[in-house]
Amino acid sequence: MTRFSKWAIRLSLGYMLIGFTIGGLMLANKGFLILPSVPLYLPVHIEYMMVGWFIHLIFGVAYWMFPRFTPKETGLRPRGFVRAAWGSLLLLNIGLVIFTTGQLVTDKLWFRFLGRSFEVIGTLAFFVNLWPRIKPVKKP
Amino acid sequence: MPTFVRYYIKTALIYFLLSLLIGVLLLAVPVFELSSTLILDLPTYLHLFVVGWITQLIFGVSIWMFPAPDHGGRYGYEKLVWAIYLTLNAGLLLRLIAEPGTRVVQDSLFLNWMLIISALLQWSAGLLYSLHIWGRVKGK
Repeated sequence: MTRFSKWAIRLSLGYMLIGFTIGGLMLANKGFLILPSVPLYLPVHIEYMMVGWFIHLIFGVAYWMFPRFTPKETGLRPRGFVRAAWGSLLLLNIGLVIFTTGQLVTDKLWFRFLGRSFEVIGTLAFFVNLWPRIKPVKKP
Repeated sequence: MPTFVRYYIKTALIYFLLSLLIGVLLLAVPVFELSSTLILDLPTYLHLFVVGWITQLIFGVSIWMFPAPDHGGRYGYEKLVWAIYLTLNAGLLLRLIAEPGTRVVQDSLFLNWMLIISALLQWSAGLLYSLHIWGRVKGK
């Protein structure tokens, strides 16, 4: 497993734990009113589970397991542009933090718009880097 | 494929079918002008799909395919793997009963406690899984 995949997957585990914690509090709150404000965290719970847990895990596993380039033939590194991959992970995380912070501290929509935009650009950058690796296996 | 992985994947498939069925029933209510019944609850449906199907499948496949841990054999401590499976599914099943149930039986202490226990069990599953898989997210 590459260093990039290790970071992406461990981040996904961290986000999953935050998502599960918020979700658990929301469910428990339906039984007994523990924190009246907890239901307001629903969009943050969804964001941590969908973008934090699933998308990070997909990034990590896809980067690790998809077919690699042959450097001699393509002149590329086995997993494409490494800095582009790291850049996409950084953008995704900046977007996630801006979106969830915006959701919690302000009702101004542009904050969430900015966060979501970072997430989309990060995901797009990752896909552009991954796209040529979706290819058939070369027969020897 | 080890026994516990088969359990994870087959249970995930059952949740997938169950959530699709509930999805159809949720749409049948407005289409056929039926009165909303006990099983029809949107959050329960979404969680059967996202936790029961997608998350459980990820848990099973990652425990099976990720690099071997430093201790506890090829897949890590098997008792821990079973504990994750049992807590996740016990939590989901309690939710399946209690969440729609509280809409029918208001202020039921029994159902409210079931929600609390369900939240705790699902959260424990997430925590145990993270602890189990964390050390296996590593390079060669």
